Formats: sequence, C-alpha cells, structure tokens
Amino acid sequence: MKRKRRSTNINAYSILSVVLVIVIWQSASFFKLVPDFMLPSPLQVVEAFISDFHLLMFHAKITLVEAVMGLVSGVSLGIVAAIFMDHFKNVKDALYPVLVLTQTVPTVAIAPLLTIWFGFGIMPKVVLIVITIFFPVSVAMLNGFSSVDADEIRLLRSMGANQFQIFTQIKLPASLGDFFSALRIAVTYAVIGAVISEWLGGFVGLGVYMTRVRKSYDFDKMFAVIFLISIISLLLVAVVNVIEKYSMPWKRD
Amino acid sequence: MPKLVVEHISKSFEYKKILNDLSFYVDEHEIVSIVGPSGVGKSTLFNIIAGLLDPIQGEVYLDGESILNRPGNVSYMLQKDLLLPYKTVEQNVALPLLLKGCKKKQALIQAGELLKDFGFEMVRKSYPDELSGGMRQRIALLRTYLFSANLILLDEPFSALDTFTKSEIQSWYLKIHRNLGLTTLFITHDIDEAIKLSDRVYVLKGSQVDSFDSIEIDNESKKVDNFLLSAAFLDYKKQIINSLEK
Repeated sequence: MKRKRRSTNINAYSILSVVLVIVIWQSASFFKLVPDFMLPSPLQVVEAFISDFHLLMFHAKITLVEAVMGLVSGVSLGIVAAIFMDHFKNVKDALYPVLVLTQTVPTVAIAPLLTIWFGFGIMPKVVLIVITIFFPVSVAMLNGFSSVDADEIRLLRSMGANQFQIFTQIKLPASLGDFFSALRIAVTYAVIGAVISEWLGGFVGLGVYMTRVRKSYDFDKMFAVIFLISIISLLLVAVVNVIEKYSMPWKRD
Repeated sequence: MPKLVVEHISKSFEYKKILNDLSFYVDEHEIVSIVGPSGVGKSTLFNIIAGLLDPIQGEVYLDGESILNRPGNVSYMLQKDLLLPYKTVEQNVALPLLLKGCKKKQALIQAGELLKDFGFEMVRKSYPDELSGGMRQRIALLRTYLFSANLILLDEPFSALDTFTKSEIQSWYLKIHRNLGLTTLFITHDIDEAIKLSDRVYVLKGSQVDSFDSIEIDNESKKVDNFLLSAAFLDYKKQIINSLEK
C-alpha cells in the first residue's frame, strides 16, 4: 500500500525555498544593502553560534528541562481533566468555560505575576507552560473521547464490558490521533512558553541569554539563539512524529 | 425447551409505542428471521434481547433464565462490522475474551486458532482497513462467535455488501451455523435473504400484536437446484409479502 505523505514532510521544494532565502539574505549583506549591525549575515550568525556554542548549550539545557517538565505536567493534567469531563457531564459544564477563560489571558501579562508568586526559579516557568498547553490538550482529548462511534460502545457493552474496559479498549486508542496533534502543538508552546517566562524573569535559560545579547546589540548572537530555539522546537516535533508513528501502527500503511 | 423465549415485550419511545406485547421463541440450532420494514422496532427488539435496553413490560429468557437488562449473555452483530480500526484482526477477534477477563496471551492464541480453522491465517496481523467488506464481515462474525456461541443476534449483517459477496457470505454462514451448532436470530428487511437462511420467519409489521406468527421454511425444499428461482421459493415470498400487507 502507498504510504501517506504528511504535510510536515520535508520535500525538495521546501529545501529549495529555504536555501533561496538564505542566499538572498547573504547577498544582501555581502553587497552592503543593509548594515551589519542591523542585520548580520547568515555566515556571521553561524560564527556567533560556534563561538558561543558552550554558553548556548548550557542555557538550552535549562530551557529544555523547563519545557519538558511543563510539557509532561501540562499534558498529564490535560488528559486527566479530559477524562473527568468525558465521564461526568457536570464537570464538563463547570470546567469548560474556565478552560476557555485561561486561553484569553495573555501569557506576557501573567508571567511577571508568576515570577512574583513563585520566585525566579524553575517553578514559574513550568506553571506558565502548564497554563498554556492545558487547554489545547484537554480539548483535543475530550474531542477524541466523544468522537467514538456509539455503536462500538454498544457492541462492547453487549459483550459485558465495564466503563474502564470501554475506556481502555476503545476511547483511548481512538483518541490517539487527536492526542498527537495536540502534543505537536503543546511541544512548540512549551519551548516558547519557557523562553518567554525566562525573558520576563530569571537568571538562566535561552530567554535570559536572549535579553542579554539584545541589550548589548549582539544581533548575530540574537539570530543564533532564535535559530537554536526553532531547531529545538522542530526536533521535539520530530520526536513526537516518530513516537506517533510507532504507537499508531494501523496508520502506517 | 426453546433456547430463547421472548414474552409480551412492549417498548415505547416518547409516548410512541414501538413494540406491543410481542412474544416469540427460537429453538436450539434454528435460524429464525424477523422480517419487517424499517422503523418497526427490529433493532429495538435486539437491543432488549442483548440486555442494552429496558422494555416497559415483558421478559426475555435464555435457556430458561431471565436475561433482561443483563448484557453479556448473547452475541450481537450489526450491519456495520464494527471491527476496531486500531486493532489487528487477531486482536479484534480476541477482544470478547479479553473483556471476559481472559489473559491477553491466552486470548490471542485462541483467536489465532479460530482464524486458522477458518482459513484466515494470512490476515491475522492485518488491520481491518486493509480488508474487503466481505472479509471484514466474516472476521466480525468470528468475533461474535468467540464471544458466545450460545445465541447469535444478527442485525442486518450483510445488507451493506454487494450481491455477489452477500450470497457467498450467506452460504458461508449457513455452513458454519451447521458445523458449529449455532442458534441464530436474524433481522433483515431482505425477504429473499430471510427465506434463504431461515428455518422460520416472523413478520413484524408495526406495533400490533395480531398475526405475529412464524412462517416455516421447509429445509427439504431448499435442496433443489436454484432454490432461489424455484416455485417453492416464490410461494414463501408471496406468503411473507401477503402477511406484510395484511
């Protein structure tokens, strides 16, 4: 059978367009169309990346730890909330509006508050990530749980299945697709959430590094860290894709 | 003693009476069909027998014991094969055993043996999406059988299949029904199918009680070549259509 191509797959055209952008950017710097201090050339960015490599890795490690901790707790909380909302309609009625409300609060506004409440350590970062990814995960899971065919549930009930068996045999596997879609979003949110949170209050992490280089007008380093953050997000999404492929073998062919 | 006895079942939805004082029976090793137009409550009746719905009044006995509101006693299969897309054929067939609390390994072995007996070994590790409609329906039947061979309820199981597949799978079902000594209660709106498969046919018209009698199909008459074109077949068909129009 033919393998389905996912839209996130890398193909020749996408590589070509990226290369093209870099070539244009490099030549713009080369022909002095923009001054170096305003926009460093790609080569300068690479040089900055190499010279600051150890420092970048040190900060990246911290950001990554925060992101993963926030991701794990946010995703688990989101799933637990979805299970409760799926099982008890009252819980859903009570919780759903609150969930929507948390999404309307701008992250930038609550991050400083979290710093005041939880200090400059890892805690406010994790809390911020949990707040941002809780909603997409729980809504996607709830959607997945309720999209199960009612006849499938009836069939299992006719076979004498209890609620727990119906959950593990049908609802959980049926909502895996939704889960991974939500996880892909959550992963990118987690990295960005960690960076923003560090930016707005902290001593270590890529967000802190970013504010430092910005204040000293080291735009080559600024771009280096921006690319590093993108690369981290992309790698995490790739990890999710691989896990998805292996945990949903029925979608493989 | 009959295998299944349904006594004076009534059911209504929002003041609309669907089933009214319905009684019938199925003997062991029989295939009994219930024929009727859509919306007369055939599926409601099945849900009651399967223990998924509560009737207003009446009783359902399986082997002399009441199975009202007690799911898990009879096997149940719908028009949709309802094979779970995220499980392999083998895991799908093993599902009823797992639900009964059987160990996973043991369940898979038993399912594997059943698939082998029926010559479906090559699709054991396939996912339902990779199979044809007829194949899926057969696998679903095996799953139904593995749940319980006691009484099998089939709710228009073949109506989504094309004519050729349908006739092939009907013969297949007759064969396994005989070989495994099953008892089947069959719902269909296809009169030809009912005559072809059943020992007796009940005609369900609506919520009236009168004339819920079965029409016996003589199994001897089925032995002639081209039974579906024979005069005997047409006689049965006329009889069923007449009682539907009465």
